[in-house]
This record gives sequence, structure tokens and C-alpha cells, in this order.
Amino acid sequence: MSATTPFLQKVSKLLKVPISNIIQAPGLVISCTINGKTFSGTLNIISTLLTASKSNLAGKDDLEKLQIYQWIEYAMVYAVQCNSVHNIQQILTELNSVLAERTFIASYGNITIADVLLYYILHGLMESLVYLEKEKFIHVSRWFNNIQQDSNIRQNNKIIDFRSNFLVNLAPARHF
Amino acid sequence: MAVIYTSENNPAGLKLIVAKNLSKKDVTVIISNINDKSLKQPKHLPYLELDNNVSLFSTNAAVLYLLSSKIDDLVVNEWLEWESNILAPNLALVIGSNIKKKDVKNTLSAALKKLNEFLKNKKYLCGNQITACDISIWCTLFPLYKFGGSESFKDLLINLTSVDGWFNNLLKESSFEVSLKEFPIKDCHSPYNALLSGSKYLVAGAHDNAALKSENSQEEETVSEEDLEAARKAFCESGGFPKIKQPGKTVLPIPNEKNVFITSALPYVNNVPHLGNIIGCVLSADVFARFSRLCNHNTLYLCGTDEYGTATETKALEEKLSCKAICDKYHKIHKETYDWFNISFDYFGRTSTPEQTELCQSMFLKLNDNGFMFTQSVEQLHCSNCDRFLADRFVEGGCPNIGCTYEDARGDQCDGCGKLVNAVELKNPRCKVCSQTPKLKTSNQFFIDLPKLEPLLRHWIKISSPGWTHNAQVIAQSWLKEGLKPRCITRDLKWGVPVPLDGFRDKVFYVWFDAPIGYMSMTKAYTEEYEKWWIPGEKTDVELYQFMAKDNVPFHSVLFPSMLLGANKGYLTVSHLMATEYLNYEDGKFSKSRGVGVFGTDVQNTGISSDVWRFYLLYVRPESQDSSFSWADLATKNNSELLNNLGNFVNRSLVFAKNNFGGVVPKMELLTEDLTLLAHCTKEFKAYVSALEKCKLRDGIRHILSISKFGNQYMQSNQPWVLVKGTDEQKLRAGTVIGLCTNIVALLEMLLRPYMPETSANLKKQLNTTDLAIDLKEVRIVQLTPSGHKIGEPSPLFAKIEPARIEELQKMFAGTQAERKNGVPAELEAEVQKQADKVRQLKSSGAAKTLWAPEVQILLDLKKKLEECKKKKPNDEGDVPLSGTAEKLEDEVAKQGAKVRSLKSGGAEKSAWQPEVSVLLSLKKKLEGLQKVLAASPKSDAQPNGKNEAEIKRLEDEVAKQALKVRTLKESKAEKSVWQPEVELLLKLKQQLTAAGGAPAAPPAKGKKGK
Repeated sequence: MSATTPFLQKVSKLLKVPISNIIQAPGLVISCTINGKTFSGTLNIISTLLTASKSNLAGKDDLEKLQIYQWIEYAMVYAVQCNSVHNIQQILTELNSVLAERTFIASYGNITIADVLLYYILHGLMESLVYLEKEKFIHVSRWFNNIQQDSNIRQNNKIIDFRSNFLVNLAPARHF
Repeated sequence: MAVIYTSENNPAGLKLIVAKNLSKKDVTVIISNINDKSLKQPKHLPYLELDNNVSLFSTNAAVLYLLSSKIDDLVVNEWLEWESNILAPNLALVIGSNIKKKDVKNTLSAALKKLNEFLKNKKYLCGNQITACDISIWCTLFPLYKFGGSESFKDLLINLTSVDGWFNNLLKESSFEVSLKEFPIKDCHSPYNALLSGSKYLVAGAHDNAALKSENSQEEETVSEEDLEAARKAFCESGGFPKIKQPGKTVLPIPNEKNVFITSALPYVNNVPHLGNIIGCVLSADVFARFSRLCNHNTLYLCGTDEYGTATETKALEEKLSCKAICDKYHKIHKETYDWFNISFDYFGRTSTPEQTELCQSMFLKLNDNGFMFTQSVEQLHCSNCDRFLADRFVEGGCPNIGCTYEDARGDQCDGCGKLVNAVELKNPRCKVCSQTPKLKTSNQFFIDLPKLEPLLRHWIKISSPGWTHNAQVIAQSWLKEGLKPRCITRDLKWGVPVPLDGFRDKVFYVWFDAPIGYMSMTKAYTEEYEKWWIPGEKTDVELYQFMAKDNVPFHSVLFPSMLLGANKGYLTVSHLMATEYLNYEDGKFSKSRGVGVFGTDVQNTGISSDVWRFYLLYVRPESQDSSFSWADLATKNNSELLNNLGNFVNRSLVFAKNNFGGVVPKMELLTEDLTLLAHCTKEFKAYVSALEKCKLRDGIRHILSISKFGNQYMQSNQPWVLVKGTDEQKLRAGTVIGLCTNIVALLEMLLRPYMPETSANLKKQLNTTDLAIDLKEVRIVQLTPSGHKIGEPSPLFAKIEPARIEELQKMFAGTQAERKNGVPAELEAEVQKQADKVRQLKSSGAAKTLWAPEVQILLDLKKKLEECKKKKPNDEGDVPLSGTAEKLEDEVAKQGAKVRSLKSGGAEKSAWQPEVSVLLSLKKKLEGLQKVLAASPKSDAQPNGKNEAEIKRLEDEVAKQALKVRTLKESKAEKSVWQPEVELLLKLKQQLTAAGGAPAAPPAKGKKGK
């Protein structure tokens, strides 16, 4: 059992390829069993799942694949640590700055497994934000809201509300 | 061409240089600094910038790119991940920073051992050439291997012979050698520091949490010697608390004292308040007002209903009452609801008073004199028949939007297409009241020149806003950020304060201009000396606290202050703007317009006391984010916190004192353990005071509950029920324990006063104590019930809320308000039964009257309801004939139709009327279906009639005969002229048969096909 186990399980459920025996020995990367074979490393596990399910989340070309690689690494080294105020600030600020210029995290035009994995990891965090924080990290909010619309990806995650139209500007209308 | 950006002396930068040199790619290297603002997002270093606006800040991805490697080698991937997830972050944190964590070092040494095992008898990590993982790991290990650092890191490298061989082997590779010359790495510590600051690795949150936890637990678990001594001194040597000051008949500010002026947002009069409204303003303000009085501050708490405006006029039209009558009706409902909740207003007023007219007009004239008003003409529709200008929602007509043919579009929005409508553009506009065609007229309106007031306001906000809640500050800032615009403050309406200038006397002030002045006019209605509050004299310090939900912040932070500042008369402005977020209902939204949720008038029928309601609402008060109300949670909190924690401690202590010490507080000789309890409780007491001073009402409750938790633990560990049967010494000890417990109970009584006034009063009676005040200068625990004090009669404070009861309530409040009115007698009967049982039980248990009296009232109400329901019932019961059902349905459709229309015309939002429309549609569908059935049934009724049956039989026979004839004729290939008449005869017969109600036999076409 490792902290990233639930996220990998969600990915496996989405891609409909079962994984088992997820373990992380001290000093080694995470490993698990897929179709009777053992794979080590998040990236290897995820790409094996992608290949087995013939998913289109794998990225179109080598460059996209490299970016997916990069963001899975980010997800595992940084995003999973969203458990203190300082860390949350850094993660959301960084993602917000990157997403300011792109629709998806690892590709300009296509949703990829990197988006999905980050969505799973950030779900708890996004749920805890108050609406002012959601406004502050508006690009993350927009990206997240986009990803969560797919009910297959969402699975049993709660839909998070990003409406902001009750913000102040409408308040004077209350009396008319 | 790609560019490498890296900071100096960074092992991760070395990776890219080695990869570049190994692949012999032409790549520029730029040495940069982590603080450089032009770095690509997310501003990590190093990174590799590619031509097509892609940058790779993951150095391993960049190495793969530079080597043109595919990402398909499982071994390479695994070791790259090992490097990026385990080796690099941990090395950077352990060696590159001051964070010294033992488990990190253990992880590192375990990791390096694994690498050592894997490299046994291998030249490279993967295959027989250099791959990305060799470069990556080698570079990250380089500073440690080469320079070793302090002794403590050197032992990481002990017994790694395979790694040693691999490392030294690669060191001799030319591309590595060249790279180190090009990009030197010096020292052990500083490269990892560069790695850490460049990669911005995060320290595991657990570390933060652990730090936080240890702080908390320290607070919880250890009290210092000084704390103990202070607690002893306070308890044994100091005098009592000051007495509560009884304020005069009218509260006025007193110079050189703390004067607290509290208001809660004025509830709008056109509806019944729901729980969200109650916790957002009046209840929060009430707790604070009670706390402020508890501290002997000179406190005035004012509120009232906001009564003017279109919404009232609409409601008056809807209920066919005058505006005044509507206001009277709902003002009373509001007042009764707040009384039930024990809201301690010093005055609960209303805005439709002569004082309001006077102050509103004088405020307007003052602002006008000071040059902050201007007039501008506005085009509006005017109905000559009704002799008034029509507000947008009072006009209907054809939708002006292209492609929409909706005829009943409202002046602000078309319900057909949902688009916004400009009232003057409606086709064939008509007055909603009299249906006459209104004409376009221009009318002059007053505008308040907010841009002119903006500099004053900005300055004021800067000074005042530090005392506001965070959300209030943010909302006010967002208004200033957008820039203020002039706002129209007059309207051509009848129900309002008239404008006191010639040429404008038929106009009234717009509600948002007049509503906040309500605070002043209500003060004036309370006392003629109202100016003492609003224009405080010299040396008189008044602090204004205004409570509201966040939607009201703009009025109180921007508009009202602008008016006060513009009047330039030294008016008091808000120093503490306390805004809450929203309270949701069981994860949905409370909605007045749709009637979803629990309303002020409903709670009185739940059988749950107002104090428990107050407790729960304050427990979930939406302070920093939206929170939700849930029935199940209400029961849990009541049963676990109130009953099992607080109620249990209080009752145990008092009953024990009563039964074993004759109700007299015994002699106390304090030991360290007792002082520890006092010190813990003193800490909670202090935290309670500081939370309430900052209006953190949720935290206040939690501190109360911790005190009783400490009390319970203390009693449990001392077991006075055992001691009291022991030796004299043990008996004395039991006395001390119980004496201390009654004192803590007396403290709890004080602290509960702002939250649960009835419970606190009940408890005071049980304790036989007097009203005392908190001395803010010295927050400490003194003897409130000294030895020898005689206590009163103990009785339970709280009752259990059964899960079954909660389920009933959940069901009762599941739909909308309108649906609930048709209560089902069976359910009601059960409820009455239950309530009766409860009352009996309470009375027999000898509970105080305050406890059972409300229950009796509920029982009576329930019985009345049941009676009413039973009267109505016979009409609905039994098998209603179909036609009756149809009539009933028709009735319902008509009713629903009216509801939808009134909702739409009432200007409700689409979200509000949409569900009603769907209800209407489904009703209509049902009706249609039923009508079809009814229309068909007369025939089927006629069928079994004997006469008809015989007729059908005869016709059927004839049809069969004739058909046979036709077929034979046709088959004999007779001339058409011969069989044609026979066919016609057949058709005629068939028609007769159908008319008689029988089904025609084989269709004629069959005969043709058979041919």
C-alpha cells in the first residue's frame, strides 16, 4: 500500500485493466501485477495499462509522450504532496501558471492520461477549496471542471461546483 | 534549436549537459537564476526549451529527448523514476537543506543498497551502452561521490562496491569528462542546495502536520508550573467575578467605556426567514451581543424588517393585500420567529416608519447639498390607466428577440427563449396589472455620484477593513477594483420614502438607498437620543459590528459607508463587518422562492428546543466556507456532544453533590491533579474569550465542549463514587472532586449563556447562582460555588433525539414548503402519539417545567393539525370515480398553472419556476391520458348490452357470408362490373359492424393479396 495506490486503482478502473499487489518497498519505486506480470514504476504501470486497453489517452507523438512522462513525474513527486498549506500553494500556483496557456496539461489539443491522473490526485484538494480560492486558481479550476465532465473519468468522484456567478456583482440585483 | 536553462553547480543541469555532449546535439546552454522572472512556467530549473514552445522541466524527460530515446524501455523507465522520485528529492532535502530527518536518510541508504544489488556484475544499468538512467543517476550522485560531504553522509556510501565500479567507469567516459569541464560541479552541499531550489521539491506534508500536532498536543497535555500556580491563586485567593451590570431602560453610549453597537442585516419582509438567514445574521449577532453583555460592555443590538420596494408590491399583488398589510403580516412572522429563537434584540423595528422617512430624506438632502447627487433622464414605460411607471417586471409583451414568438415575455427576461429583454423593446407591451398599453415616457431620476466618493471610500476601507472578515474584505476590494459607477437611487414607485424635492415628489427612494438608513431610523425609534450612537461624542468610543451573509456585503462595505462619508457629519461607520458564507440544506441550497429547506416557522413544530437549534446552527456556522445543515448530523451532535458530553458532566456532578453532600458544595483541598484540571480549563476559557472577541462563534462552542470533556475525564479518573464510601480521607477527596466539578459546571453556565440562553438559565437555577460577568482583564477561574454553597434541584438539561424521529423529520421536510402542507394523517397520528409519550415521560422524570412546557405546546399544535386534517379527509378517501379524478386533476392543473404564472410574473428566477413548469406539464399529461380513457369508456360500457351483442353477431355472420361471395366471384374471374356491387355491399356491412361496436373481420385487402 502506498499513498498513490488509490489513484492508480482509479486509473486501472477507468482503463478497465485490473491491477493487483500494489506495493512500494523502501528505497524502490512502486510496483504491481498486471495480467500476471510484475511492473515497476508508475510510468511503466500506466503505459502498460494504456497499451492493454488501447486507450487514446496515451499521447499522439513522441513529444506528447515526453510531456505525459513529465507530468506523471510531476504528479508523483509534487502533486501527491498536497497536504500542507505551503505545498498546496506551490502546486496550485505552478499548475495555474502552466494551464493559463493550455487546455490540457500535457498536450495542446488532447486530453491525456496525465490530465486524468492529476484530476484524481487533486480531487480531494479541489473539493476543499472555498470559492475565493477557486477564483484565485481560475485556470486550474477551469481545467479541472473540464476534466470532471467526463463521467467515465469521474467514476464515483463527486462533481465539484465551480460556479462563481453568485459573486458580488449580482448582489445589488437582489433588491429589484 | 533547443536551449538548456540551468542554474550553476546544479547536478540536474549536469544531466542535460552530459546528454547533449553524448548525443553531440547542437544545444545552447544559458546559465540562469531561479529568481529570474522570465523563466518558463512552472519556473523550475533546469529545463530544456524546444522550438515549438514546449519546455521540459523534468530533467529525465529532457535527457530522453536529447538522446532521442523512446520511452519504451521498462528498465530505463524504472530507474529514471527511481532517480526522480526517490534519489534526487531525498538527497536534495537531506544534504541541500537543514531539514534533518532520520527516516529520509534510512530511505536513501535502502535505495542505494538496491542500486548496488542491481548493478552487480553490470557495466551499465541497462544493456551494454550508456542510457538515460545511467546519466541521470550518475549526475545526481556525483556531488556526494566526489566530495562526500560531512561524515554523516559518507556512511551512505559504505559497502556499495558495485556502484563504486559503475561510477568510476562512467567518470572516465569522454562525454562525462568534457561535460564536467564545461559545467563544473563543486563541493557536496551547494550542488544539492542548487538542486533543491531549482526543482522546488516539496517537504512531505506529514512533516508540517507532525509539527502542528506536537504544538497542539503540547497545549493539550502539558501545563507549566506557572500555569498551576496561577490557577491555584485564582481559585483559592482571588475574589469572585464582577456582577452583571443591569443596563438602564434605554442603552446609550457611555464615555470612556466600551460601547458596542451591533446590527444584523435587515431581513426582507416579503417572506418567512429560513435557517440560512437566521444563522447568517440575527443568530450570530445575538450570540455576540449576549457575549458582549456578559463582558459588561455597554451593548445595543438592533434589527428590523426591510419593507419598501418592488418585491413587497409584487407580494401584495400576489396575496391581494395592501403593501402595508403585507408588511404588518410578515413583520409579525419575523418577530415571532426571532422571539422563539430567543434573539435578544434591544429593539426590533421596521423601515416603514415616520423616522425612516425623516432620516432618509435628510440624508438625501445632505448628500445633495454636498454635491454627491445628480439627475439624469431615464426612459421608462408608463401606464396611464394605473398612473404609474412600470418596473420591468410589471410589463409583458411579445419577445423582441429574433426567432422567438413568445407572447408573454416579461420586461426583464423572456421565459420563452430565456434571453434578457429590454422592457422598452417589447412588442405590444401591456401593463401586467390592467393590460392597457403603456407609453414610453422619460423621467428624471437621481443618481448618487459614487465615483466622486471613491477616494474617500478607499481611504476609509484601508483604515476600517482590517477588522472585517476575510470574505468581506475580498468582496469590498473587488468592487473597488472594478471602479465605482453612479447608481440610480430613485424609482417611480408608490411604496417607499418619497423624494422631498419639487418635481420628484411622486418618486420614492430605491430600497438599497433607504434600507441601510433603517439602522439609523430604528435607533431613533428606540431612543430620541439616537445621535449619541450614530455621532458619538468626544471620548465616547463606539464600535459598530454588522452581521450579515456575504450577499449583503456590498451594501454595507461600499454603498452605505459612501453615504455616511458623503454626508460628512462624523457618522459612525462599521469597524467590524462580519459576513458568513452560505448554509446549505442537506447538500442542496436553501431557497425562499422555492420553499426548499427548513423555515423559521417550521422549526417550532419539530419538537426540538430552540436552544438545541441554536447550538447546532452555531456549531455548523458557515464561517470560512459554505457548510451544510443535515438532520442526521443535528441528531448526532445533540446526542454525542450535548447529551453525552456536556449534559452528562453537568448532571453527574450536580446529582452527586445532591445525593452525597446534601446539595452543599463540600470542602475542597486542591492537589496537583485538581490544579491541572483548573489550568486546562483556564486555557480553554481564555481561548473561548479570544475566539468570541473575534466573532469566531464556532470555535467558542468547541472550547465549551472541551471544558466539559476535561471535566468528564477528571471525574472518571478520580471515581468519587468509590471514594465516598471509603475512609475519611477518601471522603474528603471525593468532596474536593465534586466541589471542583460544581465550580466547573458554574463556569460552563456562564460560557453557555451567549449560545443557549434557556439552558443556561435552567442551569443557573439548578446551581442556585447569580448572574456574573467575565472580567476580560483577568480571564481566570475563581470559586463560583464556594464550599458551603447550597445548590438547587438538579435535572437533565438535554433529551435524546431518536434516529426514528430524525427520519420522520427528514421526510417531513423533504419536499418544498407547499407540498408539506398536505400532511398525511397516518403520519400525524403517529407523531401525536409519540409526542404524547414524550411529554408523559418528561413529566414523570421530574424534569423542569421549562423542559416539558414547549413539548406540551407542540403536542397541542399537533393535535390541532390532526383535527383539521381529519375534517378535510373524507373527501379524499375511498375509491374516487374516474371522472372525479379527472376533475380533481383539472383543478390541480389550473392551480399549478396559476402558480407558474404567478411565479413567472413575480420575477422569480428560471431555476425557481422551471421545476414548477415540469410539474404542470406532467399533470397535463396525466389529465390528457385520463380524458382519453374516459372518452373511450362509454363504448365499452355499451358493449355488454345484450341487444347490441345479438346485432353484432348477426352482422358478423353477414359480413362473412358476403366476403365469401366476393371471393368466389373474384376467383371465378367474373367481370369487374359483376363483383363490384357485391364488394360495395361488403364494405357497407363492415361499416355497420364497426358502428355497432364489433371488430371488422378479415380486412378486404387480404382478399386481394390472396389473389
